Amino acid sequence: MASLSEEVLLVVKKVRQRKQDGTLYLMAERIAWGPEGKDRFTVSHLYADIRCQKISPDGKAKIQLQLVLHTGESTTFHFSNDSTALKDREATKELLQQLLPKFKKKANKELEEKNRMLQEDPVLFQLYKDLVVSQVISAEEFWANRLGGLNNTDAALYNNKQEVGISGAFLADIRPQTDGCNGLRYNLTPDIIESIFRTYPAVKQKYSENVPHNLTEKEFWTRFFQSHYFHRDRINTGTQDIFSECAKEDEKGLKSMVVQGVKNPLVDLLSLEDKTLDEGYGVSTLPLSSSNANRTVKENSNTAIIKRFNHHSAMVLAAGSRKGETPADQASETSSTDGNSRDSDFFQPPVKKVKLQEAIEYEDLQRENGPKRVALNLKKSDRYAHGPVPLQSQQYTTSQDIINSVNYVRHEMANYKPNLTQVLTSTVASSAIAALSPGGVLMQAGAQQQAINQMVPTEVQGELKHLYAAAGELLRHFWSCFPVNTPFLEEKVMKMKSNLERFQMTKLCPFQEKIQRQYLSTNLTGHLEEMLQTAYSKFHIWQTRRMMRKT
Amino acid sequence: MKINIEGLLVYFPYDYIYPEQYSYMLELKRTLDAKGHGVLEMPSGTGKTISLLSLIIAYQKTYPLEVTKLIYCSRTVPEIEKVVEELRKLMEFYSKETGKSNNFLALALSSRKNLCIHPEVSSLRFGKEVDGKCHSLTASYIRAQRHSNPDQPMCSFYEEFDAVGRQVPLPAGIYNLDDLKDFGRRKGWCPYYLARYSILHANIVVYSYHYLLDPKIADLVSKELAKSSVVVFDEAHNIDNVCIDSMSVNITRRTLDRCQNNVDTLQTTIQQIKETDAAKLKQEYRRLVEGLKEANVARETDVYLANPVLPDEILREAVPGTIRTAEHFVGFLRRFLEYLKARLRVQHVVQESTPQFLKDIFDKVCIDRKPLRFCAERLQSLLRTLEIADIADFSAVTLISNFATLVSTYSQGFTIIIEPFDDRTPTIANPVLHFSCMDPSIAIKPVFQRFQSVVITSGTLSPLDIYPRILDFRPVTMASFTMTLARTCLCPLIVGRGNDQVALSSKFETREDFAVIRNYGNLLLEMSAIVPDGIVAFFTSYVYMENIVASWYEQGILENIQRNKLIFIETPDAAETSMALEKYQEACENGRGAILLSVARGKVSEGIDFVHHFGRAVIMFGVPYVYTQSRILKARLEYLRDQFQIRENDFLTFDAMRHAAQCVGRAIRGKTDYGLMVFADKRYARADKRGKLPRWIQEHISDGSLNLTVDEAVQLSKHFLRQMAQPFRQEDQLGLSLLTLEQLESEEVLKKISQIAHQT
Repeated sequence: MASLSEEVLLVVKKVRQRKQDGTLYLMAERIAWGPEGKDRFTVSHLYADIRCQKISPDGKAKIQLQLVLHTGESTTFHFSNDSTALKDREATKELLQQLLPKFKKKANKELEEKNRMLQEDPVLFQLYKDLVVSQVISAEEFWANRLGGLNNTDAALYNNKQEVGISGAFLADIRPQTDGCNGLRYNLTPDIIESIFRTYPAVKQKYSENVPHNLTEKEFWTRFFQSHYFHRDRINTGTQDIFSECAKEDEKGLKSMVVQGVKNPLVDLLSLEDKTLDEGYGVSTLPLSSSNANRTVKENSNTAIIKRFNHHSAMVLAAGSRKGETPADQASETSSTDGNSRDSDFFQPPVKKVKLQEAIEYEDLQRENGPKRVALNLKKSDRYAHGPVPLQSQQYTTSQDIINSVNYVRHEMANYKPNLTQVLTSTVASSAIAALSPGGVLMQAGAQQQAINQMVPTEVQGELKHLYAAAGELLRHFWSCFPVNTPFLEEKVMKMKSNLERFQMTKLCPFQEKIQRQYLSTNLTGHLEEMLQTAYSKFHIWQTRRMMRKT
Repeated sequence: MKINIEGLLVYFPYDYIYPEQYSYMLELKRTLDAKGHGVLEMPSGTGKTISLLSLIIAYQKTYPLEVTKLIYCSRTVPEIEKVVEELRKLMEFYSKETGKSNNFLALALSSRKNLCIHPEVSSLRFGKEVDGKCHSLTASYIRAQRHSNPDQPMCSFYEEFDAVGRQVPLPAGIYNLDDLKDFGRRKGWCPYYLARYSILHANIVVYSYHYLLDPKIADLVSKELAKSSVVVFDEAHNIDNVCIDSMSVNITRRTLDRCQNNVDTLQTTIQQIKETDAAKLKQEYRRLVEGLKEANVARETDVYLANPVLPDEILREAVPGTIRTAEHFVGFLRRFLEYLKARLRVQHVVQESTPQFLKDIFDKVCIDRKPLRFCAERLQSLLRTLEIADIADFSAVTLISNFATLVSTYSQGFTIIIEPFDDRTPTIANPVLHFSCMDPSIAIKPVFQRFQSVVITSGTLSPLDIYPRILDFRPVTMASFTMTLARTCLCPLIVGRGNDQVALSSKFETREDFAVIRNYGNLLLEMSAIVPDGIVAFFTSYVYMENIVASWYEQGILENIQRNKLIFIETPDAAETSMALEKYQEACENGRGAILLSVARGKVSEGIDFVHHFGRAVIMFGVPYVYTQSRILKARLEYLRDQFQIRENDFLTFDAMRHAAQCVGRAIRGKTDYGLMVFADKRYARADKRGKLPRWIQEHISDGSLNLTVDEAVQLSKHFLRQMAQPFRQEDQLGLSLLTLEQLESEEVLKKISQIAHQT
């Protein structure tokens, strides 16, 4: 069955799969196994489908290799050639190790996409659980008309998700704790590691260079925390420290940032002064013993701290805004670095002009002509300014007031005369009262709505919601088949009908029973059943029509 | 709007006006009417520049013979460009209102570095390099050499300008630096020389202080400016230091070594020329015999700005015979140099006056006062004769000769201090000769004498009376204006105690105290949690900041601050600081919020504004006293006491407070802006300190906020910030801090306004 064009990279004999001896073939794009004596493969996986390979531990009697697929299935090969089993397995493993990453990139993009969609959309995930995992419909059916939208506009939208920035104090969050015996414990979370990597790409590079070949992850971080690099106040002297290079990298990065200069001419301190005094003039032009020899170690370390803080802040800032802006930035940066003033003239004026105009603007001296903004209308600005204050009875009423008002009311009552010409007759009035009291005609609709909210426990409500979502999804599939004009749709509609029935059996009925068990009298599922019935009757009509046509 | 200022029609390019702008213009007009000088203080962000420009230009248009030119001096390049942009706005308004096209010529002048368009030269990074390279392409003898050797490199822009540029004056208009460059590119002319040439007939010139105050540059650039000009020094709170800097000289051993090399080069060049072209030297000699008569003629006609380095009496005399021939002069220089070297070989600090120095030099090496005075002139002449292309190489010998001229010219106002080592590193020999000017009036005197009106203005000039004293002039108007506010948008707080009642102060004795440092850190931490966007913190000195940052780091305070905001710190390196500043602004812009730790008297505190969200709070840690142990400062204080009857402490406090005011004033840039000003030192509460803050800040310090703890300050700040976050509309301001034309014309309002100006 193997086409001739396929290149076979490795053939391993005496490999058992499902207790059957056979031969394993590693081809350019897939791995395949055929039982002995037959010329066809019973197992064949594209590399792209393979998620990972696992091997049995060295000490085990059986030397095995397991392939786990993206779908979750797995295939196990048992290397049974006594003398060379281990070697065979190693060869296979090595080759796979080289091959798999190549295909990883190509790996089922769709699958990743689906995965991501499910992770990001809890409703969808629930639906997926309800329908696919409980095998009401198959996964393909579920995805059939979802991926369509996914392939065009949505993808871009999803990818542009806002990047989460890095906390400026992430290094501070790694609080070292003493473990009681002259040791320190540092707690690292994936978030912090991510932050370190994003802020200090040099460390990331070191990590990928050294872990896991030279160091274990733990060792790597131990060294990191021991390094001068992490302790910013220490002057870097040792060369055996793997992070000494990082420090140099940082230094370089800082320098390149400095050399690039600033884009806003108003903050460029270098070009601030118009005419500096010539060397030798001025009162205090003596360079403050800037030669490093004169500086004490402490002063040096202080300078180092300051530098590191500037660098750290710049990197944190850059990590937050790195994505998306880079192309535009790159362009302007390159033009600013090469020609110092001539080239930069071409792009400078706009920035400069804008900044200058901003600087001389007096917005309040001009008549307002911008778009009208809606002002926040605060009833009590004091409340806003001070936050909520405990409610205090603001208006005290003295006892005299109360007595007065009581007197007043009494007086009013004494003088009360009903205006009898404008009242209803007693029968009309009592029927109106009856209609408006609970259980009355006018109150019914409201009462029932309330009932669902209040009488049904929340978990039942949630379940009901899921049922509705699932049923809606299924019904959508069902109704989308009409008008049935192709054999494919015919098939689908049949399937959907059975799906619906299965749904009713596996999901709806248990729910109904549960409700009955809880003595909830209200007919919660009535509407759902109605919908299903409508679908069934539609199906029956269609089926009878079809039968008639056939006969 | 068009306003009537005591009979002068002033075009003001806005629909509304602040009351203080009106009274500012009023005072300014009185100054111009009296043809005298003025000192005016008005808070930054109240539209000082536009008020100045509007009034002076109206004056110029109405009385074209009285005021012919406005010379506007500012400090930094961005400031200069801002002024020109405001001017452009005003001129556009004029032509819109009058319907006539503008016939004014206004231009900005800056150094070659900002104006050069020559592709190679302008790509150089440093101003000095650009100047040197330009000189090597455009010096007169270089160009003369080109006649014989056409391969000599040249600057086509300068040649083009020299050929045709002077014939037609620059057409009327407003030229900012970029406009000049554009114009130069279109015409193929050198914008720098075009600008320098055009300032002579321009109506308005905007340039930096140095072009007027530094005698070395003023002589080249500004000497032909007309007497009937009005000179404005904006942001003038530091003008005395600029004056002093331009007249002071420091000589180190390195300078002397380089000078030695220069002298050797001169010697060999003279030898060469003698062999090839002896006539040239003879011609120079003849010229020197005739003396500096030419310069004298020019000065008598009173069209030149006096050069303080070259006082009048020198001009009447010829260069003395002892240094007239080139060899003799070089020999003279050698002797002088040897003398200086000998003086630098001291073991202890020497301080002496200029007459003492002159006597000593006469006793030791028989150098008379007179030839010394001609040293600078003589050297210039020699360098011209020898056709030295790269003047920058000869900076050392130029420095020495300038020193010689200065030291022999002024018997007062200068002091000479020779220090064998730096005080902080007493083991390392690093002898320096400081020749320092102590009297800022020397450099600025020619300006006051020459121009009919000089206006000194800034946001922080308090106390006003000290400036006329130290600059030695008599102003006709002195006024301080406050900021009229519809809502109190600044909130000065003096934090004198920590939560644990420890007194907060940066004074020397408690500087290293951990309790103080911790409380300072606590203050910053608490503030970082409640203030939105940007916070700027200033320390008294760089060393102090370094130490505090280090101990904050050790105590984990910085880490906690980082939870709230990113931290950026000023460094001595300007490029690094620029980057930090930009990142700081970026962080404020994107909502993350940031803290900038900076230094009073540093570049940031002087030149960068933190408008709106870039600075919602300024924290001033300590009182920014100048380093008082320096001998130069001590000498200056002594001089101030003897000459101007200003007590040391008064001056030190004045100096500290003007810097503190500068720092905190960075955050408020207008009436729609708002910000906290936290003075974290208990000494600010004292009347002598507080009284020296500008009036517009003083007014808002309530008695209750004189000695707050950190917690109290935080509570007040919270309250203030919430109030400020409320919408603030134009209607709220109208009539109070913003006036319409109708309101301005009512009698009642005018009376109210007249109270705003605070006459002193």
